[in-house]
Amino acid sequence: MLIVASAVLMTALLPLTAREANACAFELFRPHAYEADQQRVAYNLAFDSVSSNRLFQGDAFFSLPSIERGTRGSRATGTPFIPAALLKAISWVESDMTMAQRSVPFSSIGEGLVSFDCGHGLMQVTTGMTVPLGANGQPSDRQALIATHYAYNIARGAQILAEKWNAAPEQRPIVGTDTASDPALIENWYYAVWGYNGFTGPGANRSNHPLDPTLDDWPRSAFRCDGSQSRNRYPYQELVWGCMANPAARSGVPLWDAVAATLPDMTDQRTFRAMGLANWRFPYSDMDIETPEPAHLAVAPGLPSTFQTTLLGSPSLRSSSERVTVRLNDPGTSMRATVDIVNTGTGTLTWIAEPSANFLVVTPPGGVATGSGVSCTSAACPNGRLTIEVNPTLLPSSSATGTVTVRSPNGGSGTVVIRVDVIADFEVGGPGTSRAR
Amino acid sequence: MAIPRRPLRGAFTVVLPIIALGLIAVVSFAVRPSRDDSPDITTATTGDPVLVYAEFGMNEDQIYLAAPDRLTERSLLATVAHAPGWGINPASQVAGSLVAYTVLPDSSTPERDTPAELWLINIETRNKTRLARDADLLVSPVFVDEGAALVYRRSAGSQQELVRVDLDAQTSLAVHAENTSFGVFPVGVDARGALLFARLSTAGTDLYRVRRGEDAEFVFHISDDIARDFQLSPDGEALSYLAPVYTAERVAFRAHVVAIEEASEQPLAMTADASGEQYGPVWTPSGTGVTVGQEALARDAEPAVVLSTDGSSIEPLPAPARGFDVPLGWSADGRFLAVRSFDGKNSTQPGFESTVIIDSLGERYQVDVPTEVIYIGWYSGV
Repeated sequence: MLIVASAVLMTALLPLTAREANACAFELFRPHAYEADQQRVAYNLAFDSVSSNRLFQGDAFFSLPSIERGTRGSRATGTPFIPAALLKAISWVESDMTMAQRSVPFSSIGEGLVSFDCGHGLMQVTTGMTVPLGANGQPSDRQALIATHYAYNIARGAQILAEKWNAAPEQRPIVGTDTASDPALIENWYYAVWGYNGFTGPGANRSNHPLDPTLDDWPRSAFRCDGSQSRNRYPYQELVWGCMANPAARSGVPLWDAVAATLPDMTDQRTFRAMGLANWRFPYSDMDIETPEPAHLAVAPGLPSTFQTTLLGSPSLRSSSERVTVRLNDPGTSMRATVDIVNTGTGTLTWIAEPSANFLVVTPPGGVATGSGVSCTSAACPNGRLTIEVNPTLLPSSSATGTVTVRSPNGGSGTVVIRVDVIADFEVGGPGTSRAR
Repeated sequence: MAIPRRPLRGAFTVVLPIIALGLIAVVSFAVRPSRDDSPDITTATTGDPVLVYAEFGMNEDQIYLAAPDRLTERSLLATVAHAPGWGINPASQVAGSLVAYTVLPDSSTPERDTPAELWLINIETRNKTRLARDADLLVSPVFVDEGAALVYRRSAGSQQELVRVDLDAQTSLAVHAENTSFGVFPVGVDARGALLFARLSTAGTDLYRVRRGEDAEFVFHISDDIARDFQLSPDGEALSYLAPVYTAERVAFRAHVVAIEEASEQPLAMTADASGEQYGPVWTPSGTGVTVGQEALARDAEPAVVLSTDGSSIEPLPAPARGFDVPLGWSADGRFLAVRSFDGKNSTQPGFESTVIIDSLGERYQVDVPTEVIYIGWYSGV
């Protein structure tokens, strides 16, 4: 019976292992994330505050870097700022502005959105998310925050876009030779947005070049961002421009303010020549162009005084239990234990669970728990639910004890250690074998 | 989905000369015959042309057959599930009763460089066959040898290959491979049986040809810039395409026709606006003319025109009420032309787009669907 039970357990584990064997920050199982409200009010507040570096100002990792400005010969650092409309449109293109899988309701907790190439969450952050970077093969705190908490995910996505912008002029061309490449002009972000999806040239299978012959239809109508047009015909930056101009709506309310930003005019000789084949060579210094007109000036959005409390709060980690027992010989008892991860504070708490022994399997390996002041209305709320299972084939003896340590990157310095007692009423042989009495 | 985050591989060194490969790979096709239960295509039995198009859907496209002058009487040929947001990319025409397309399967990463599947559908039998799983999604496959084979492109990093798939023998052959920072695109088979392909480089766009087991051979220089919309004449002797022309401060794509063997440009009849944008050159079924769209800069509407390749005549087609047309393809009998019709002025202000059929009597029929129409071609029935 126990062999059967073991087989059942392993069968339950194996498909997931195989399916997710492409090792992202969380290797075997997706972490859980908080999906905020359907109107994206929380997300928009995060976009607005991140865009002007007011949410993570002073944070060594998540703050927005200085944004360079000026022409090729006079580039200088400046205030950290990205037009929020760009971030919102990119997020829509990347993830429909969602943090979790489609099956997860809004205002709820569930499996996080992780693509096959390890793109995580709202901004589909891939950079730094393809392998675990923490100790013992575990995800790092930063990875956990990016994978589970929307504000950190948005901040990291904004950083990546800023890196694309700041790659000019040394490695990328600039837009705005006539406007000192002012980052407040949305049109000046054309090349940076192109780079966000890969600064790839004409003819490549990943091309985002606007004149690429593989983009079948010329001319092409603007991308409407309403699900009625295939993406095949558009370079990435035109998808973003299209979504900026045509915000999705829920309950009749647009999810962001429309901005009809201008694309480079390909009938203009200077622009056309700049993007010509002869100029497609590193560092692309002959691809600099003027600001497409009419240009649109972005200003730092106004924020409520409580935005930091709303977005980050002050989470505090606790668990519903610090000792559990898993019995493998009692058909009436589950072969797993569950522990609630509780946030006794405010905001959204990110947690990571790390077992001490290989016979303990934790799912999800990380997640969130919402505190007071965070709207979480489904049955999966507000606590994170940690399931601890035992792989009987890896048990060292018929009774064993291990621990699961739960820590939180944003919930204070304390950790929760859950003792797990395993009682297996069968003989244990060498690793990988077991035999019922 | 996903992010940049992938640096360009390698420096911009184009490796030439090109390696012509004789690597014959006998592939075991993953044949997946299936049938839809939709009604038979009654129009097809008359021999009248039938429009084949797909109606884009966020998660699946539906391929329809429709009588061009009775577009609401359509029948479903197939439903193709795909990765969210990424529709099918069909071959530039229907070959007999065969439809081909690349598509990202619904379980794949929705990215433009995800290896796509290449599928074939027989309109008459409704059998579907998956021919490959490593195609480049955005590069349209090309039927060659009157539908006996398909050529598609596949990539691995900066390595690109043009692969010929013989449909009867079920074999595939990489007929050309090269390492490039740009791209190669199959065009078709010329009158002498060589595969033609366009090739981008820092020098512009060139036409090459390759025969099985031989090195690729330069044919002629198409443009110093990016050219597009390559199409072979029905007899395989000439190539039409769009290439940019610089005039005053503007640049406009204009149609060109070049006799391949002589590498000599054939002067097309000049329209009133000799420097305006032209769009979508497609050959007439007889091969005596090229149909192009033209921008509506000076007037509210501008018709597509048939330009004879001897430069002697210009035949305007019925114009839209407003805007301009971009030709897609003629039915084999020359009675119908499918166009994309825009209500704007030109490539900078294209306006709203719809797909319209123009018949020889001057009537215009709009394909009235709520989402994008993906033109596949014309089926001439049995």
